[in-house]
Amino acid sequence: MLVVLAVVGTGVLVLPLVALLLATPWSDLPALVADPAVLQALRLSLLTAACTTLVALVLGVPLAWVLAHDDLRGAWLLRSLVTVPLVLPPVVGGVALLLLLGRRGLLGRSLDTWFGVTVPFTSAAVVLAQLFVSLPFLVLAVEGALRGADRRRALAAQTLGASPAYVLRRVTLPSVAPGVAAGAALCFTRALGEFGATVTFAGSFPGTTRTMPLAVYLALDTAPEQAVAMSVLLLLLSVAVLVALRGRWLGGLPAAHAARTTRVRA
Amino acid sequence: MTLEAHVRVARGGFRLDVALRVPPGSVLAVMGPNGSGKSTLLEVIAGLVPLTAGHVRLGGEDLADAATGRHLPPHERGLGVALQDGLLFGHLSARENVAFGPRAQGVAAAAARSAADALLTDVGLAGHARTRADRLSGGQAQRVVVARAVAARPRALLLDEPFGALDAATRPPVRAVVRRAVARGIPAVVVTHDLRDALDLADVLLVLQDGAEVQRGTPAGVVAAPSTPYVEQVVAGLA
Repeated sequence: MLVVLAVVGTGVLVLPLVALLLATPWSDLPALVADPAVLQALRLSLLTAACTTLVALVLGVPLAWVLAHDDLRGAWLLRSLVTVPLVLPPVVGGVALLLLLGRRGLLGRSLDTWFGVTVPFTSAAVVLAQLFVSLPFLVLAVEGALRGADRRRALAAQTLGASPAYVLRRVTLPSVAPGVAAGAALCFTRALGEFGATVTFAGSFPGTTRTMPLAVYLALDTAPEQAVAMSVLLLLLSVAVLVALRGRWLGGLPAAHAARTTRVRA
Repeated sequence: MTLEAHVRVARGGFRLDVALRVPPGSVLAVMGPNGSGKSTLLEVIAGLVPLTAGHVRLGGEDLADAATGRHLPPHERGLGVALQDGLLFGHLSARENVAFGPRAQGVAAAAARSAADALLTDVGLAGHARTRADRLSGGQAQRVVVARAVAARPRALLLDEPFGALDAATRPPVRAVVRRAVARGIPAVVVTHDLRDALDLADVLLVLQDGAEVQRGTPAGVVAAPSTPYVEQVVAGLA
């Protein structure tokens, strides 16, 4: 019975992708992808997702570092807050961003009157929407890595005569690097696929805010073959990241780390 | 160089109060069940846990003294330490792990590497120098941990369960590595669950119960005349 359910579960995950691959017009794929509108959306998606990942690294690694320290009071509250966007419907995130940064928003009003800056419906808004949705992935992955590189290992290094600076350089940072890379990759793919928050907060303007997922959705009505081609492209991009994550990069993720530790002990 | 300490620690409900003196070239084995304070004793000497009262001296130098508030940080104590669970650096190779202490203390890379390779050969891991530490088996990892503690030519050796994961075949060469390091004239404290380690390696065996000494003597003497039923159980490996 369990096996049957497991097979059904696998089917739910795999069959849609099989259908997508079967429907793909492989021979026409290069021509469909070479369409200027597709290239424009692809360029925008890659650019914004890269920006998002960069900002997420700058903000997320310190946040993860703070969360990884148990002695911090209120860490549980902080972690809950960081986790909320993970479970929140992205559309709600988009609405919330509008209420904060929209022309009449909490901060947006001041930005507009004082600096003449309007954030919504710009490429910056796309990055913000992606950041809201994908930053938690990076934070939690890096936090897991930091916990894996527990402080006892750093202490062990000190007892061998290594100064704290040497320990940070040779032990803590290198051991966390795979986790950071894994978190960044997760963050990038999540940003690449962002739809709900983006369409709500940034709209769908070709060249500035119409990312691949938005373009796919629109093309489904007008040019279904193109929608399929773009979907396959996104699928390939995601799989490429997954393949890159395999092996050493995945070693930084909490689950993989735990598995490896168990293996060493066994 | 003599290791001399009176270690008193009070943390929550746990109390540790142990005095020890380990002359150069000799080994003190510490036995006792989990929670008896063995690991804490080592961590205090290593400088990872602060003293509540007492002192730790090595070769006449104060490493820590609760009376004066002196607390030399772990990396300035010149010790070779193997903590419980080994704690190898998983992202480094076995060789880099062993060479870590010497490298951190400024030994040239080539010299540290060849010394590390020699030690790895001694513990029977010549073929694993380039293996990442997190790909080693439990027994292999433990041998690297001992080699790493010995590699930095420490002024004293502190080993917490250094042979626990080793089988009968791999124990003797690893014990020999420890014995050679001690023979250079340094004191060593070895925490163990296994009486054979104490009999084979130690000059003095100290049995702890709830953070205090219950018996001390030559390992053979303690086995021959355990002072309490508790000691009898500990040396029999039952407690």
